[in-house]
Amino acid sequence: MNIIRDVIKPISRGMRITLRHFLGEKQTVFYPEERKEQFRRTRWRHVLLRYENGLERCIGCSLCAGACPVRCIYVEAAENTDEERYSPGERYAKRYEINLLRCIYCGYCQEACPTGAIVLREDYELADYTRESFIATKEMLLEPLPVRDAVAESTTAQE
Amino acid sequence: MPKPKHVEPKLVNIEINGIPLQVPEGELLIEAAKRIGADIPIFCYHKYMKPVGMCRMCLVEIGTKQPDGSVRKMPKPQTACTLPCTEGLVAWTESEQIIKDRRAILEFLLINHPLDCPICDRGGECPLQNNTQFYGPPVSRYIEIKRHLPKAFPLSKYVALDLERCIHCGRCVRFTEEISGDAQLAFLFRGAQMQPHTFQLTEFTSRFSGNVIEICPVGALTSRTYRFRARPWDIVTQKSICSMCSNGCNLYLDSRSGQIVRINARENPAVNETWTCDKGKFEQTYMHAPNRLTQPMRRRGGDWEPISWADAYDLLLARINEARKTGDRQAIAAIAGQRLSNESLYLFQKLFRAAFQTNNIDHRLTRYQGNLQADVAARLGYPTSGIEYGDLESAPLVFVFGSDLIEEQPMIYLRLRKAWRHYGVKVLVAYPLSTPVEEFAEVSLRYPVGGELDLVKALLQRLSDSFPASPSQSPNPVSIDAAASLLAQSPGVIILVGEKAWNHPEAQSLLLALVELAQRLPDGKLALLLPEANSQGALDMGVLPDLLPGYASVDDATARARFEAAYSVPLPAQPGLNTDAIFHACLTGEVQVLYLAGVNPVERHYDPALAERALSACDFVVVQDALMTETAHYADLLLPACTFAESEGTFTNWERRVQRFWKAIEPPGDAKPDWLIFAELWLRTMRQTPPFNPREIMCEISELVPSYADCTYEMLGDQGRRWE
Ligand code: SF4
Ligand code: SF4
Ligand code: SF4
Ligand code: FES
Repeated sequence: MNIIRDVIKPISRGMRITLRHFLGEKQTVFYPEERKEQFRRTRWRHVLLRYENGLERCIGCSLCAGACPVRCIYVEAAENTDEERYSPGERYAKRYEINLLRCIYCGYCQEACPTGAIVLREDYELADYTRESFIATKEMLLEPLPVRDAVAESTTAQE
Repeated sequence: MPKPKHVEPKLVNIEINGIPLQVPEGELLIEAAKRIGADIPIFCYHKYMKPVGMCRMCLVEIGTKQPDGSVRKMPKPQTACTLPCTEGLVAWTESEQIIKDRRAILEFLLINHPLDCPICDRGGECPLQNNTQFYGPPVSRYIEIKRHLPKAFPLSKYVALDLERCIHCGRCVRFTEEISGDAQLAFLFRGAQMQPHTFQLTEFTSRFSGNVIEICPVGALTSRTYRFRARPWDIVTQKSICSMCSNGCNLYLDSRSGQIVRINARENPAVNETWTCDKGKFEQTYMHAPNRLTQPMRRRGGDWEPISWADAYDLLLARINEARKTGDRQAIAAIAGQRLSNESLYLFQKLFRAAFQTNNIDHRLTRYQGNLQADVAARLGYPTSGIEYGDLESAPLVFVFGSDLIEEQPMIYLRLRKAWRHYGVKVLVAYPLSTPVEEFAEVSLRYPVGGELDLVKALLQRLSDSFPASPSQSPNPVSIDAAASLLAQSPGVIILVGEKAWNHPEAQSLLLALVELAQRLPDGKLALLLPEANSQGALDMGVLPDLLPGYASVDDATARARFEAAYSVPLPAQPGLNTDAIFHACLTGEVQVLYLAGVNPVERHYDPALAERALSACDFVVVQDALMTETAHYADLLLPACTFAESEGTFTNWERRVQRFWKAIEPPGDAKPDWLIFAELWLRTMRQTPPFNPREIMCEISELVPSYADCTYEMLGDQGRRWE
């Protein structure tokens, strides 16, 4: 056995890589003070989108639930009325729940959705303390109302 | 001509896609193609309706074999749904031309179609979707603006119409004309404006309106009760039997998260073909009624105190033992409901006869509570009904007596109408009021309320002293003469006896007169129409004070011996009290414990006041029911039971067809199936192994009741079996 060739040389070559990364740009961040930027198409927790006018995109058609390979989506639909309108057209989701513990973040629901209402986005901080809190309800998933409507609403409320 | 009973069909040789086969002459090509599994897409064709060739979806290429063996092809494709098979027919269902034609037809249909499948209740089980997937073009070339028409227009309480989705197949219109006969739907306007609708846009009031939802090949006609409640992949479908009347329609129960959201017809050619009535389809919601009982309860003063099943059984058995010690045989009595399964009813009579040693059991709430075996079966040779649905089609004459058929027996009405329409069966009807049967009846007799007996007597008189008879006192001598001559000239007759006979003040004499009438006529058959889903089963299972299961008399020692051997206890030999006698015995205080299982006499007994008085007079009333009924308010102990949807079992319909139903949903709370309650009581009193499931009970029944010998679950299958 040759000490120089078989021991020293490989070790120093390996250490050189370590040294390069040690001196180079850092990959770790000071979580939770700092967060890493997510890629554009990352698939984490779902979001239910709205149209610009504030109406929900979801029409409660259950196609996402049908496409889901682990059956973790539950949709209950109801009928829109002129007084109480949630989405364009006849039908909206009265209840929309996703069991995030079961979900495998495959994105099939996003693909199945005919209106582009359900999308998987960058929110990856999903840890929690109880099983029940992993049931994401419609209220949790829905995008907040656009500001314009929020303002309009608050002004009408004041009047 | 009435449908002949058995005909040997003449076979012809045809060829489909190069496969030679023999089919009965005149069979439609579309049906013949099914024999070799060739799939021809359809929209307007329906097996139980006349073909019309409206949608052109079923185009095929055809030709005829020439004597020299060559094939002469028709230049244009033909519709397979209107083409009867003849000798030498040759058809191609998958040729290049046909593939192109189908694509074109579908592209045309989709031009005017909104394609709002995601919110369409038909989506996922839509023939238009399916045919487009299999045979349609991948994209549409139509980029112009689509037509817009009213959506979700409420045609009736149950049916919504979406005009944008209609493909003008005419199935719904044809249904109301051909099948239900009320002709309430029609096509308004013509051409591109054509729309199915009620005349004058009035309400769609047919009693069979739900069927058009099922036969509409798109989502144009949808159910308002099912609207947006589930998609096909959300629901669990279970086979079942309707519990609303004795017709025994085969159903599918569709449930989602433990709730029945929809009821559809299940095809059974011998029973309901593929129809249901609206009562069975939309009104059968009692399993989710707010007044469901979910826990055993005892009365404490004016209040209900929830108790455990064990305490409930203890209390019940303590009261029964007390009554048995102090009183005589009369001290205990029980009435069972006619919606209980055969298995439950069988265990019910077993429990009361063997464990509690009493024959005071009954199920009848009608005025007639006599011995059908002696009154009818001994004279005619068959109990209750000598006919089945199919017989209506081959009878020369059907006499509907004292029944508002469409209300009481909707499916028999549909079959009778079909018999008249397709096979020219003559119909004679007698009812105090005008009924829809009159529309197609040869002769209609209307008599004053309560005049049934006079009517039958008048008919009998006309028939015996070869008419014209002496002037009669009966109200309408002209039509009585017409009816009598119709009866006398007909080579055979089926008499359907309805509710008016059961509740006639002199029901027994009336029944005997009808039996005589049936005997007097050539090939006269009597069919007693029973009121509820398992009325026939209650008779068969011996829930009667004087008859054991299988119609053996309780005082017949040999018959009793068979049951005694099976139950290993002696059975009481004295006939017990019938329903009315039980109520009277309650009033005199003789009956101390009254057990009501799934029965609601306060609402359903012909004399509700008598039932009420009896129940309030009785010492200890046990009510076992799924719902908090009017009767349950008189109870001292309440036992929550399951409905048919939550348990397994069999019903026997009016034609004596034994049919299975399956468990579709879980029972609410602590409710138990009726058979299980009886089995647990049996265990507690007899210390014998109880049956563990309905299948076992049916095995026991098939061993002890000769007519049910081949009614084990394996033999019944999902289409049931009629016992002779
Ligand atoms: S009828 Fe069929 S094709 Fe038309 S919108 Fe409904 S599901 Fe889609
Ligand atoms: S409503 Fe339905 S059944 Fe009636 S014509 Fe239109 S598509 Fe056919
Ligand atoms: S006809 Fe009778 S059995 Fe058939 S669906 Fe109607 S109620 Fe039920
Ligand atoms: S199914 Fe033959 S034309 Fe419609």
